Amino acid sequence: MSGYSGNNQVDLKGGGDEVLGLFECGYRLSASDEPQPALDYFAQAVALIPDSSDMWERLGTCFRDTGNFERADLCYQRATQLDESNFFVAFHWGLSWMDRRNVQEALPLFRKAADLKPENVFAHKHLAECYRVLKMSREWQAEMKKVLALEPSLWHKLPESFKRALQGAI
Amino acid sequence: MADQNLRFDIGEFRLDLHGTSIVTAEQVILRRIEECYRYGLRTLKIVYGTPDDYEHSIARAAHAVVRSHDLVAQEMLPPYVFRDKPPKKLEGALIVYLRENPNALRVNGDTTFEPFTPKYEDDVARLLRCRTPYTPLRRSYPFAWAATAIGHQCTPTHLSEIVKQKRVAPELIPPDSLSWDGVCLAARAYAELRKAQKSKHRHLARVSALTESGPPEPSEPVQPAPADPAAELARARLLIHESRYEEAVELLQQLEVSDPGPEILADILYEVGRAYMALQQDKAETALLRALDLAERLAVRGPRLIAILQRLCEFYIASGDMDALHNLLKRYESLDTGESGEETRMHGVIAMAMLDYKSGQYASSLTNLRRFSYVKGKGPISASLNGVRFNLIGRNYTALGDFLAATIAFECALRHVRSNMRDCRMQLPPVLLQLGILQRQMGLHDQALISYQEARKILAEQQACDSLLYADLASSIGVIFRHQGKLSYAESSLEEARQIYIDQGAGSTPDYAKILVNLARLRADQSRYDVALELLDQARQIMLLKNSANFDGLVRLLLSEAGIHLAAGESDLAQIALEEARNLAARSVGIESLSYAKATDDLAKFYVLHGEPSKAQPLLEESAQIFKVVRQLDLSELIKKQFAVEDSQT
Repeated sequence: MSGYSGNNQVDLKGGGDEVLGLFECGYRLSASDEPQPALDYFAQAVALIPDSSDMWERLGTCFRDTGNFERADLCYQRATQLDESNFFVAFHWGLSWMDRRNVQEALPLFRKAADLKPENVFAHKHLAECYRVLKMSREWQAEMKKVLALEPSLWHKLPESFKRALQGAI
Repeated sequence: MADQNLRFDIGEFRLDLHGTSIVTAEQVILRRIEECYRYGLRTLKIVYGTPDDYEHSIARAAHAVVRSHDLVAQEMLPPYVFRDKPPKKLEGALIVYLRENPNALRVNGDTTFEPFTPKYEDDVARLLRCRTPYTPLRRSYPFAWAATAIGHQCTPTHLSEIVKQKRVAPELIPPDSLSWDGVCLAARAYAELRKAQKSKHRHLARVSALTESGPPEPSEPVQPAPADPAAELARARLLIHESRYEEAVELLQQLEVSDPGPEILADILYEVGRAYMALQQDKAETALLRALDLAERLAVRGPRLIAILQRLCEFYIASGDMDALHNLLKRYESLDTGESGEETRMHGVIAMAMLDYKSGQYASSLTNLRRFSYVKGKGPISASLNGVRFNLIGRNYTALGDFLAATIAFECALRHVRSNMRDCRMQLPPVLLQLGILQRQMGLHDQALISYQEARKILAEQQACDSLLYADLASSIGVIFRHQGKLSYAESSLEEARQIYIDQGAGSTPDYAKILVNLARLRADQSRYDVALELLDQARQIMLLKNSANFDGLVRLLLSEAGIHLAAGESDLAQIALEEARNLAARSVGIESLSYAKATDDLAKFYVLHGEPSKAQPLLEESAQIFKVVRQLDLSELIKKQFAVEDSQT
């Protein structure tokens, strides 16, 4: 489990100081790996402003971190309904499927995340990982090329087998 | 110190408003301006009493009165009177110059200035100066007049006794009369005497209780004196405090007919209303409405008016008369009572949100709850209030069909309530009841039963098995049993609920109507359609009488009626009820509401069952679309499910 590393800017959808306070507490706790108390704060915020896609996404991520994937899926689903173009929803929902080792479900989400934010190296990295697990080598190579283009220093950290495969492709 | 006096030497009337309420201050300033003008007095000096400027201060009230009064020479007023925000530090008094009256009356021995009551004045003599008509040229006051003015069962005999004991300076002429200073001294002396007598009686009562020798003989013969309405009112309040309501009502009724004056009469009527409410009698409404009417005529504002309004609201809530409550709140929605405390505002917002919920105005209720959040800000509030808030949020989402948000809200409510079980133990059952209702609607019958049972257990532990909440739980358990096909269990639960409502005198509330609807559905399941329709009719009467604005409830009632007609084989009547429900939902609740979706869905099912799939299909798609939005159900699955029914029929 890792601390939350998402966007700390949210659309409060007209929520006042209370919602902002709840979000700040929840964000701090989730960033310091305490998903259960963070969940309490985000749940209250969601109950107060149920039309904020960001808030549902954070609640879903807390559920995911506490192992309640069923509830996490519902939250991500709601977040997507509220804002189809929310990068963080697609990305974290994808991670949630990866946690369950369900690459098939994760793949379209990472693809969507990479489309929404082509400059985000993590989205491409996870997408490449999905392709690799699914043995879709051509797509994997293409995605890895994008990753390396965005972050060239990664090349030195890659395993030798990856490098060979990629050199062949290049 | 509140005071008033006329200084002939400089032609100035001095009005000191210390210890006076704002409303009284406004009234007395207006009266004095007119009176001074009538007698040709050109200067009125108003001592504010609360010199610092703040909203609702006497200073602001005084400025508001004088700057727009025709009889005041506005050109002579200091400039700060005309500013919205005068300087923070004001002088203690404002001198108002009045216009010249060419037809002024002469001030003589009979010239009287009207009295006023400085509510917060403690000094007996000052109070007397303001509460009695002020006659500036009067030099002597007969004992009888003074005794009446002093009140508290004071008699001329008391006064002569006080004079005899040389408590009062003997410069008083004519005999059996007092100067104003004498009246003041006598009033103080009488107050001391009463105080001493009271403590003596208390002491004797204690001694007699200790020695068990019966009540002590009074050391002085009790003076036969007319009963003081204020004292009698205090006695009635004590009786109410001791839960001796019948005695209180009797005493208050005697007081009412003794012509105690409008101010005290308003208080008497308010207390009568309270006592009747405790006795669960409908006369409470009449008494409180009379009190309200009187308070309005006396231009009473602030805590007294609020107290009457609160009691009336409580009465309407207890009797389930939401329409009357709505009307009352609408009438007083712009009432400015000067209450600006955040806690008060928050409680007000919660109350409004609850009222909106009860009237089926869920979106408005949620808006009010969001306002609560704004008022609250980042400051902490009690676990109890948070429990109430999130419970209400959850109820609204349930009613709107947003089951996920409702679940999250109820979980928040439970967390808050369980975080302080010592104080919030009795708040747990209502939350569990609502959570159970949500779980039932989501088809989680077993989980709902667990929630209900936990709530029942707590109520049983608290010996609250005759409460309306317990009845609601019994009714909800009955509904689950009915869904599970255990009709005999359902019947006993629902009958238990119904009996509790009747025993508690709540047999005509909208919540009772819900129990009747549940019973009607049960009777329909038992094929007793006539009884079912009769019960529904009773429920409808209550709803229309008490909560006609709750269209959501009426739509559900119509859908139940349609279901019963359908089960009874009366297709035509069922169709009429369904169409009526759908139209009512579209007109009054909105076409994006769960009620409309349900009505549309039921109508579609009706067409499917009657072999008219072409009529059903658009309706099913429409309802499915709404369900998808509000409940996140999958559109295609729902349509597939519905057409599976159609296939099986054909």
